[in-house]
Amino acid sequence: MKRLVNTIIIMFLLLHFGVSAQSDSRVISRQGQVSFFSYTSVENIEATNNLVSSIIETSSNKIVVDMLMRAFVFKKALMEEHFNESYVESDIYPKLTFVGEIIAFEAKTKGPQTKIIKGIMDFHGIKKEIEFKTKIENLNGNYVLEGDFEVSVSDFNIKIPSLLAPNIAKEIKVMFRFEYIPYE
Amino acid sequence: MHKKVKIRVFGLLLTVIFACMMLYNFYNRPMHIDVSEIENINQIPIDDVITMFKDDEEKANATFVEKVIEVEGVIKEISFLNNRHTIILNSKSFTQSFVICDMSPLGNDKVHKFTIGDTVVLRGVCKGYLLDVIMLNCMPINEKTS
Repeated sequence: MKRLVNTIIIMFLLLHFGVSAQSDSRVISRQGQVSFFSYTSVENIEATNNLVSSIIETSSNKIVVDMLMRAFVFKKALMEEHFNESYVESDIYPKLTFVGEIIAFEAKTKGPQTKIIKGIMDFHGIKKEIEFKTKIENLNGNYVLEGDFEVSVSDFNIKIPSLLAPNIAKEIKVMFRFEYIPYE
Repeated sequence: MHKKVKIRVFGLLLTVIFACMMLYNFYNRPMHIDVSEIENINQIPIDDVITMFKDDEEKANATFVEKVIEVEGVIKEISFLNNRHTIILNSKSFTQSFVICDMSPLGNDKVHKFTIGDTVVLRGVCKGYLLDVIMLNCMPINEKTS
């Protein structure tokens, strides 16, 4: 039910963008890259998702990011199994969604800008407001957005068995890079 | 008697070493699987896959996610981004939804032969649906060009 509501919200936002904005004000990235790193003295864990979808409505600076948790690729198969089955429970919560705004973004200004993105991250059944710094660059109507931020594992109700607690950092570093093109 | 104990200790030591090696190999087994070696994979029409995800995502997730599937489609786009080849396949019925295939490095030599507009059969692990159906570890199967 919760998943259905989330889907309806995202569809509404996407449709809303389509109805209220001019067609040339949306840009899309279907192959955004999101990586996360967990550094501990016991073990470093990293994974990358190369097929993250995102849309920016440049007229309102609204941004939507949508990713499949199962599309994260690890170096070791067992890590991926633990990640999906025990920690993020991908069967129950298959997606992470972020809906937010790039504050004071001047979409028509060419060249790089450093801005704050503020919005709601919906992950593992928890909705949490987050904000982070990003570098966004207008390359003649195409945009590149990149940056990093940290999230706390405990904020998203991810339970780690005490035996494995030393292996997983309490703060996970998230890095992202999106290349946007006009939405046809 | 003394010799028997020595043999037992040696045997136990060998068993422990073997078990440790098995555990190490299991823990460190790599992610890449060669989907082209898997037999008896059903080919699903690309329009049917997208339709199923659009109509009932939960049911389609249960049917396809983490399964190896094969789809035939016309190449809309080939990109090399983030050090990976990705092929986007067009369907006949949908203009805004596609099948996005993240190609396995094992199939890189075959990807170089493809051009936009080619009809290809790609096999990969279905991961779910965003705006498009997402497939990873994809390999071309019986490639044919237009």
